[in-house]
Amino acid sequence: MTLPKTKPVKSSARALRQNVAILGGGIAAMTTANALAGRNYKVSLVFSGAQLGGNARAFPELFGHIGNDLKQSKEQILSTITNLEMQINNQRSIELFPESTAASVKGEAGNFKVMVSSQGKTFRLSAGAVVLAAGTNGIGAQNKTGLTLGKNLIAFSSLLSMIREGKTPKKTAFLLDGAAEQDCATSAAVFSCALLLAQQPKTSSTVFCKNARVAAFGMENLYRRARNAGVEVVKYDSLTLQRETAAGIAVITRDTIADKELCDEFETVVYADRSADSPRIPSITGLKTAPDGSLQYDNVWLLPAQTNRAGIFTAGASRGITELREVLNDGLAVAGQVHDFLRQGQLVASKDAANVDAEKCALCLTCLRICPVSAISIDTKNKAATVSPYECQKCGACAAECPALAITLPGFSDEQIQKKVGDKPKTIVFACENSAIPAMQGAGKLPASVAVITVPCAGKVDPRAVLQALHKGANKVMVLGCHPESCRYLSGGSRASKRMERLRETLDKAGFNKERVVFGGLAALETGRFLEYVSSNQTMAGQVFSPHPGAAS
Amino acid sequence: MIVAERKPVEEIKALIAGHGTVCVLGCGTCVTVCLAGGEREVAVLAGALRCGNNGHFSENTIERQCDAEFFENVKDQIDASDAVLSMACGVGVQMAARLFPNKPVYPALNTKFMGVSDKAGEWSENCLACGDCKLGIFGGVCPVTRCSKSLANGPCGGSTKGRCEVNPEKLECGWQLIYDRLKSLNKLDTLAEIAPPRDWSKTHAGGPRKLSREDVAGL
Ligand code: SF4
Ligand code: SF4
Ligand code: SF4
Ligand code: SF4
Repeated sequence: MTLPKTKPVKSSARALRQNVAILGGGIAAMTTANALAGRNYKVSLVFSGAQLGGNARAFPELFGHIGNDLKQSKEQILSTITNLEMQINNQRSIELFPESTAASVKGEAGNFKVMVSSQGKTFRLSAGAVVLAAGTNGIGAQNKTGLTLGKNLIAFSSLLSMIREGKTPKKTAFLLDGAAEQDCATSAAVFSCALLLAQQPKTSSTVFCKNARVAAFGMENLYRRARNAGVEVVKYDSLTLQRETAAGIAVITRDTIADKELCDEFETVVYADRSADSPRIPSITGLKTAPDGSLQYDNVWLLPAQTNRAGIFTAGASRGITELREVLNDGLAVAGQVHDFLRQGQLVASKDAANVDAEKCALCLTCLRICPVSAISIDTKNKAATVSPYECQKCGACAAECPALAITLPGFSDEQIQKKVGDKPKTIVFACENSAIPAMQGAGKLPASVAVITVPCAGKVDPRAVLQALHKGANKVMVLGCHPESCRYLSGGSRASKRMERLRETLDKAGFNKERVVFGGLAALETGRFLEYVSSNQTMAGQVFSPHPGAAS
Repeated sequence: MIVAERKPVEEIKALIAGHGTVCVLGCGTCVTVCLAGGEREVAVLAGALRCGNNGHFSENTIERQCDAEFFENVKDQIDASDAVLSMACGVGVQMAARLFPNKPVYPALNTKFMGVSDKAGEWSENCLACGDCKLGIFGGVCPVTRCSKSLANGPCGGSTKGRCEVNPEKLECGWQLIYDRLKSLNKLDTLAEIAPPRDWSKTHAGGPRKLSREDVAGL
C-alpha cells in the first residue's frame, strides 16, 4: 500500500476572531446581538431593512396573543422592539449595517469572511462566528393551494396591505395547515388578522384549520376573543378549493369524524401556512439544512443553535423558533453557544484527522458532499480532496465511502481493523464509541466468542471490513451505532444502516445468509438493547462458510 | 461523465457460473466517480461473491479500461484467470474483450448514460452524443436529451407545471427548462426561429462513429 501523503500542517492552531456577524435584523437577531454584547463580543448586525425590527415591526398587528386586545398587543410589540433597539444603541460594541445583504459566507470556523453588499457597495466583514437570523419568508409566502394567486386567492401580505388601505374584503377565509400543521405563532398571526377583520362592520372571516393551537401563553384568550367577535373556525380533515365561482372561491372541506362535506364561498381566500425557507440566506458551502427548511440539521447534538458547520449558528424563525417569547429567550441560548465556541480562543489542528492520498483521489467529490461537518474541500493545486484538520471530527464516514480507497482515518486503517478482526470464528461487533461502547459498559463480561471493535462512528464501518471479517470466518458481523436521529456525527448512523442494508441485499443475492450481517441502532444508555443485539447472535444458525484461497488481491 | 450501475447480482452470478477463477477488474475513471466500478466496488462485489461460494476471485483496478496501455499491469493476472468480470462501462468491457481474445469477458455493470451528478448518490442524463451539438441555441439545455421526445421546436402538449408528461414525478420538462433559461438570458426570440430537422446521420443512426485527428495520428 502506498503511504498516504498528507500536506504538512503549517501551523497547528488557528486563532478564533472574537467577534460575531449576525445576519438578520428581526427580534431574534436583536436579542442575540444584545446577549453577545453582554458577553463582551463585538457584533456586526447585517440586515436588509432601513430599521431594525424585521417582520414584527412591519406587521405589529399580528401579535394579538400578547395583550388583552389588538391595540394593546400592537403597542406592546412595538415597545419591545424600541427597548431592544435602545439597548443595541447603547452598546458601543454593536455595529449596524442597515439596507445590507450578505451574499456569501466564506472562510473557515473562527475566521469567516462575510461578503456584504450595501447600497451599491460591497465589502468584506471578518468574523469568528456567524449567526444566521434572517427569519423565514413568513406567512403564506409559498402558496401551496395548487391554484395561482389572483383576484380572490391572495397572499397574506396583500391582505394586510388591503386592510391598511381600508379596502377590507367582506368575506375572508384563512387556510391553515394546508401543507403541514402550523405552529402557535402562525395561528396567533392568523387569528389576530381574522379578529381585525371581524371587528370591521359587515365583514366576516373564517379560519380553516386541522387543529386550533392554544398552547402558547395568551393564545386561548386570543382565540376566545376572535370567536366572540364572530370569527368562524372550521376544523377539517381534507380541503379543496374550487376556482372562481360567481361569489369568489368555493372552499370545500370534509370532516371525517362527522362524515360531512361543507361547501362555502368566499370573496377572498388567504393561504396562511408559514413558509419555512429563509430569505436571503447567503451562499455557504456545505451548510446542511433540515428537510422542513430549517437552517439547523435535525440532530440533538447541534442543540440549541448550531448548524452542521462549526462556528455558524442560527437564531429564531430560521430554525423554527417563532413564538415571540421563545424568540426573546432565544438570544441568550444562541449567545451561550457562540460563547462556548469562541472562548476556546483557538482551534487546534488534530494530528489524526482523516487524510487523503492525493495520488489515489479520483476527485469524485463524494467525501466533500457527505462529510457531516463539511470539513473537506478541493486542493486545486494537488488536484485532490483535502481534509481540514481543524474541522474534521474524525468520524470516518469519508474513509468508508471513498470509491477509490484514497482516505484513511488514522487508527482505523484497513490494516489496523483487519488486525483487530483477527481470524477466529467469532461474532464481530463494530461498536460506535458514542452509543454502543457506553451501552456495553454495564453489560458485564461478554462471551469469549464476541469480539468488540471500537469505531468512532458506525459510519466508519467499511463494507469491505465486514466482508473481510466474514471471509476470515466470523459467524456474524454486527454494526452497532447511534439511532439515526441522534447520531453524534449527524448522518453516520443512517448512512451505516443504509450501507449495511445494501450489503445485505448483495450478499443475499450472492447466495449468502444475509442475517449474518446486522445493523443495530441504540443509545448510550441502552445496555439492555446492546445485550439483546449481541445475544441474538448466539442462537443464530450460521451458514457453513468456507473461505477461498486467493481471496486477497 | 459516463454513469453506470451494478447489474443485479443474480445476473452476474449467471454470467460467471462455471468459471474457476474470475478477475474482477475495476476502472479508475468515470465508474469510480459514479461509485459503480472503482476499487471499493470491486472489493465489495468480489467479497460478496466469495461469501456466496460463487468461485474464486482476484481483484484489480486500472486507471482506464478504454485505453489498452493500462491493461499492461494486469495482463498476467488476467492470463491466470478463467474469465474477466469487468466493472467498467461498456466501452471498457469491449476493450478488455479486444485485448484478451481467448478470455471470456463479462460486464458487471449496466452502462446508463452520460450525465451530471446532482448531489451525492444522484445522477441525471444530460447528453446523447448526437454529434451536432445545438446547446448554443437552446440556452445550454439539451432538447435531444432532456425532452423525453427529443423535440426540437418547442414542447409537446403534455408539459404541465414544469413537469414532463412521460413521468411527471421524476422528470422536469426539458422545454420548460429551455424556455426559463432563454427567458433569464433575455433571448426568447431565438425560439421564434424554426430549428431544422436534425441530421441524424451524425448520430449513431449513421453507424458507429469514428474520429481521427490526422495531426496527432501516426508516429
Ligand atoms: S471520496 Fe475519495 S476519490 Fe472522491 S473526492 Fe474524496 S478522496 Fe477523492
Ligand atoms: S472523518 Fe468525518 S469529519 Fe473528518 S473529514 Fe471525514 S467525514 Fe468529515
Ligand atoms: S445537442 Fe447533442 S451533443 Fe449537444 S448536449 Fe444534446 S445530445 Fe449532446
Ligand atoms: S412534457 Fe416537455 S420534456 Fe416531456 S415530452 Fe413534452 S416537451 Fe418534452
